[in-house]
Amino acid sequence: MIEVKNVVKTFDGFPALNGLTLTVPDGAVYGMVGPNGAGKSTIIRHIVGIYKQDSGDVLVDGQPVFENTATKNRIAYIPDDLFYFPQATVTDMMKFYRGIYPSFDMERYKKLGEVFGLDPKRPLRKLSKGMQKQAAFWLAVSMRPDILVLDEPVDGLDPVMRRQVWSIVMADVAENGTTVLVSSHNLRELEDVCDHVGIMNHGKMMIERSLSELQDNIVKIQLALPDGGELPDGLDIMHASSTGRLQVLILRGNAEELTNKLAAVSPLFMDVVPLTLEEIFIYELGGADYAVKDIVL
Amino acid sequence: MQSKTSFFNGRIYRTTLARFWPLWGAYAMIMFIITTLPMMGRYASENAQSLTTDQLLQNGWNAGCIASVIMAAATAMCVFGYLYNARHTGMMAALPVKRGAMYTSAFAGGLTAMLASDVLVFLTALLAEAGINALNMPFLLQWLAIIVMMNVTFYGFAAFCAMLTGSLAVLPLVYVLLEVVVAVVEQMVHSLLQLFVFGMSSGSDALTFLSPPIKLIAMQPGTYIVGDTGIAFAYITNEQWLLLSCYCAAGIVFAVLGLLLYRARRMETASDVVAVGVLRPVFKYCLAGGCALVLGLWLFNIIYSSSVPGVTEFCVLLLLMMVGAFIGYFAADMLMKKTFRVFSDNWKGYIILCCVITALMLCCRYDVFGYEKRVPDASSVESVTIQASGGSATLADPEDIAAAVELQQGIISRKDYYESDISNVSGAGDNGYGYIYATFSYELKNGGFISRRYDLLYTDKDFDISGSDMMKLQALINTQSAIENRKNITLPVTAANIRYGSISYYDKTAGGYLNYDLTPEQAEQLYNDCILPDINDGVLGRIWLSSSSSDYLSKVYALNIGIDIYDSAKESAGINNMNGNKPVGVGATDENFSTTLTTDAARTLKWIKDNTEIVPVMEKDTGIDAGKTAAAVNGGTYYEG
Repeated sequence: MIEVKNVVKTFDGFPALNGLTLTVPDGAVYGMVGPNGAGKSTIIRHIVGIYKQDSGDVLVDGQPVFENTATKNRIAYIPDDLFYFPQATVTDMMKFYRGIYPSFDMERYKKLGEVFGLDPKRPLRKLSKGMQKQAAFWLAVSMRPDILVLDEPVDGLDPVMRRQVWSIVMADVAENGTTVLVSSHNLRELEDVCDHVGIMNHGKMMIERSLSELQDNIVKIQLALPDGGELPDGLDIMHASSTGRLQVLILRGNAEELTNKLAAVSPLFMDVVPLTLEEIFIYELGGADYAVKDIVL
Repeated sequence: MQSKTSFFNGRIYRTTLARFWPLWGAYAMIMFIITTLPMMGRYASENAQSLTTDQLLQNGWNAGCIASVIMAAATAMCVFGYLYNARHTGMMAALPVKRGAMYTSAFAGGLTAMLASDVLVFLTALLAEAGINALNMPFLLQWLAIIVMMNVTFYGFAAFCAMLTGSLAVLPLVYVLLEVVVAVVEQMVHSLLQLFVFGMSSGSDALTFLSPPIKLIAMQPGTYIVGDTGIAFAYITNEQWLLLSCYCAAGIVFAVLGLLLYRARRMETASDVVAVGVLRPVFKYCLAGGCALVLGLWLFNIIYSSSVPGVTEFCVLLLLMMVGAFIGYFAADMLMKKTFRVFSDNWKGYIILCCVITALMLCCRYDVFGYEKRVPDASSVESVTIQASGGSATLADPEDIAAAVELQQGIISRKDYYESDISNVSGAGDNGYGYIYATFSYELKNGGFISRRYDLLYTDKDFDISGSDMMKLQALINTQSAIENRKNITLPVTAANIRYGSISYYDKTAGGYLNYDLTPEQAEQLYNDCILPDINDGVLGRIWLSSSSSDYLSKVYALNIGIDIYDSAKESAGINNMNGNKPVGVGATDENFSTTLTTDAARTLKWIKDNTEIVPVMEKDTGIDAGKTAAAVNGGTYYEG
């Protein structure tokens, strides 16, 4: 389990992380979302032991990560911006990582080589960004990590390879109980793979729940009220819009309770529409002053 | 396979070694080119086996030092290069390797490669020497020890510097700057103070040892000549070994400090100019101060050439220093903040800095610290060495010391006169005038040392006025003990020890100077029977501070006698000890004596007239301008005249 407790990190006085708390259960696929500059990459760099927090704790199974080789041995990290030694081939990098990570699995490496189809003797700098990303997955999964930390992992991959990569990750989760922490702006994709979601903003965690809890807690209802009809009191409206009589409401609360409550005002029409993660993200952040603004040019 | 130790990682070490092999290869090649190759070339051209080792040590010390300085910086840039790129930093810092192990492994990789290159060059030199039948293992091992110690010295410091910055481009600048900064600043401060502080001693090198490359290069290996073969051997003095050992130890200390900095390093500082937070203000104010000093002085020297600046010049210098401080202060901010927009709210520090500079400069100019007026009490002085226009005298007699102190006090009391514009000086007109430098270096009984240097304005009239500062100065450097000390000959002057003797004289017929070679026997006789007694009588060996003074013109011949003396016995011993060890007691064996003939030196004059065909001509009759501040006659030093 990854636990981040009240972590503060400042860069030249700017608070990149402002008391962030986060918990990733064992075996979870945790999607971390947030606007640009929310601190996602910063907290990931703490979790993999690159940065040291100014205060707070970053723990894996109760052990601090920073300067803890035993813990870091269990973590594989694929950053947003990959780096390989300038002249290195996949084979060179494999030898390097094999010498560093005791759990590096050569059998797995060979098997994955067939999946990715990359030339292991070709210098990595000559590969496309997508192919370099594939190489990163190849090497990271070969380490047999207990925790896989991915920062914008499928950027640059073609749709087929995206599915391929996710299927490898998911297979690892299913077979070995690997914990996956993934940061991405591709919410549609996260929705498919994540079972837990954390939404960050301004260096803090706004919401952290399982995806099902999150989806159960926000409801999108389309309804049309009769003439003179008014919405009942006590609704937690996150967003409201209307077209003629038809109103679209984003409400916080349980779907069944909310429909019962609205039924009391005898709407002419009422329908509960499933919310996507992207909509949850947008409406949650809208309440945190990060709404899409109407711009007049 | 992971290393079992927590302070070393074999994979990082091996990767470091393997990744930068072109650099190690280039270093080995350069060392081969500057050591083994010229040694072989010199052997081939001169066919002298004994020359090889000398070449090896000379190049090992000088070129080896420069190569080591450069290589250390290049190695640190390579092995710690990952700290200067955020992506690379992330990749390496995420590895399950403790920071200490990461540092030591990378450091050891670089050091191993450098040392391996040294050993490789050592082996090539060994084979080369063996091939030409001139194997000299002690010299070779000395060379290896020197290079290894230099490598450790400079690489340790380069690794430390690598931890101070987060920018690859800044690292070599910081490294080179810190390597030479003390010596440079010391000279700059002296240059600055000499402008305004009356009596400021000339450039000091007391702190130059804190700039190892400058100190080492200035410290040439000693040489001795074997017998009459003319073959020079280099050797490393005990002082040099001690210094190298201290530098080497300092290099190790810096490497350990680098480790401590690395462990505390914030990895997010990749690409920052200054990677250590607490050093940011230090960097800013040091750069500002340095720019104030360097730019201020440089611009001032472009504008003014006056050696005695007045109030206006002082104000201009102060203004230029503030301009320099402005450039340094805000440039530092720009570099650290990576923006040009640093002028909005950042003036407080600059204003404080300007106030500090102004205060310090005013203190120096108006002698708040009492530097200008400080003269030791004569009773506390062990000895005083006076140097004036090429001549020097070390005086230990209490009366002479008291006279020196009194003279210096007189000079200080006439500061305004000596600093005045030469065109305002009465009597300067068509008469001979100029500046004479005079230094007073006191060794105190308590072990202390005081030194002052003055540029003294004079006219030739001053040398005719009894009790003038010039007359007092000339009298002090011509005391009998001073004249005898200036002989500067410690070896017995015998025909066997005389390598060369000659008389350089003006010949009226030829209209120029000719040379007359003396045999060793002639030189021995001339020195022991004539020159020495004349010196003892105080009629030879005097120094004149002005060659246009009436006293000089009436007494000095255009004739100079020179004798080179060496220790023939010890050099003969040296030829039997060619295994690289310095023969006991052998140093720089040659001593030189030279003196100019004067009318009072009756014995010497007679010997020349009796034994040669030389007709001595008075200096004034040669028609050659001897210069304004000629010093005539001496021992041990060559004088113009």
